[in-house]
Amino acid sequence: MSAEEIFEKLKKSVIGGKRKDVAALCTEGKGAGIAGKDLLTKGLLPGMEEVGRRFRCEEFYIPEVLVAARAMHAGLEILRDELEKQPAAQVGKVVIGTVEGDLHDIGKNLVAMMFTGAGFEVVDLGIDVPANRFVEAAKERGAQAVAMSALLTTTMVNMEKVVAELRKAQFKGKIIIGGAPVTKEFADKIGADLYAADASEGAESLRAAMAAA
Amino acid sequence: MDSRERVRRAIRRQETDRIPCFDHFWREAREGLVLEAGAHPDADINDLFDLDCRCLGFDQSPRLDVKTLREDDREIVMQDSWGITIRHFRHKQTTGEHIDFLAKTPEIWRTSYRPRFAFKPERINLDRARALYDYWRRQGRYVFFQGLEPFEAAWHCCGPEEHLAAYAEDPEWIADIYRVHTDLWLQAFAYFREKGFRFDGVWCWGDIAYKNATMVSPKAYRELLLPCHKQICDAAHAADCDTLFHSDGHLQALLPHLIEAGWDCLQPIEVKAGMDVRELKAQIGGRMSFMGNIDARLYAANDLEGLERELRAKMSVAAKGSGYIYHSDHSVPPGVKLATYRRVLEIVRNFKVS
Repeated sequence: MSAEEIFEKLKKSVIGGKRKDVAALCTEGKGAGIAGKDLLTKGLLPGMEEVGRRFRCEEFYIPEVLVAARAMHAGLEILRDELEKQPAAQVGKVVIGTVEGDLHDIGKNLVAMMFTGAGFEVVDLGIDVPANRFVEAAKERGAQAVAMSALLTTTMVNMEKVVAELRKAQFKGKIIIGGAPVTKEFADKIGADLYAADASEGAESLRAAMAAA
Repeated sequence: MDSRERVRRAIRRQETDRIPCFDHFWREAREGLVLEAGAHPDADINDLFDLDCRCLGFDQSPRLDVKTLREDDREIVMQDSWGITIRHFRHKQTTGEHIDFLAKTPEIWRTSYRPRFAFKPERINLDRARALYDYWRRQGRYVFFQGLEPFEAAWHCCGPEEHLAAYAEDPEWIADIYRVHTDLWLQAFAYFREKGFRFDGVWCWGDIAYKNATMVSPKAYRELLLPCHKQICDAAHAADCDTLFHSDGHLQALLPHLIEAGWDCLQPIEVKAGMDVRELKAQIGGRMSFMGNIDARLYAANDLEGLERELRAKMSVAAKGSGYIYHSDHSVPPGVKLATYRRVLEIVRNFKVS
């Protein structure tokens, strides 16, 4: 199989959520001497990009996104060693977490999957994350973006504290927020750079903002 | 008109003396309101505010032993009767962090988990249920038989991620979980009826949508879930019960399918997910009734003017010609003051329905 054929098949297999096929194609591509970076950027990422597009136009729903993300991860596992030696293959590094007082993780996990699918390296801090942990992780890991999620009206107010702490620590990257009660107006009010209505939009808008920066 | 007649007529879109009232409360809100009202800490908040509906359910879990795994001043990690490892804050009620689930594979489901969902009378505390039912009947309340519908029950078994992924990877497994839970629900409902309980409605909750859309496609809903919902609704209607479906989130794409399944009333119609009862009334008001859609954020802010505006704007459309029951768009949140909540009920109860 030619490299182009492998890229095309990889893309289709990611879209179809075919975990085993994605892993097999990555293994085959590696064996044929195709660079991991190319398998990622010409096969896996375009696949997830298409998944995001279909999700936005309600052609795909959460189950299809989940299995596509799992397939993508299966490919990334095969390529991990090589990609770690080539950090340039990644679009950027994003620290993500659900803010303090909030124990919800499903939405945040989906966003993390979509970030990975968009080519970001994701540092997932989990749930109930205090402001200082966001700041420390962004600094220690050299992140270019911080993403925050909240499901409750009572906890989304903690996002403001994180934004303030990040600004105080002179964090220069992008801050993106989302979650059920969060709105664009709220994001503007607390000084976040970006607001995302859903996981796919989050990945797209962060990628666009980073490219423009 | 007593509560029972008022709610029944509202769900059936018949004229009522006033808009019926019902609500759910986050624990902190309930405790705060009861304390502020000077009532006994164990007082039933539904009685305190003379709300029209009451709910009676049964144990739908696999009835595993509840265990505390670790705890400190701030939080408790426990394994509940579903076998879910869950982390809660000690001093405030919120949905906990679901750390792990027991039936994460079809194999575990089939061998050790599925058999635990057989119906047994022990799932119902009959004496307690009878005492409550009789009390509510004497009060003239509208009584719901309540429970998780199969979508909600399924993720309690295998976790939300495995549940949704299985829609794409192993729909037969999901169909089996749904069948088991539908059967359990039907058997419990039949048992209650056999014991003389005559419910006015059934209340099934299952969050099948999130902020922007439904979790699964309308096609997937039709294939896997609609047949189960229909069985539940058919059984309820055969027993002269109204049917109410609870789901948070943006349900727009599923509305015609929910009507086809047999749901009579939709609740809670979440504002922050872009749901608006006025639009629903125009779209499907001739086929469905509505409960809720009053923005919970306004209660938390004790925004009396905002609440009054919200109530009047929505009730004037949603209750026109009947078909509307007051409820917040989820649960009354912590921070609400007694005067705020009393004012809400006063506005609703004095609202002239046209």
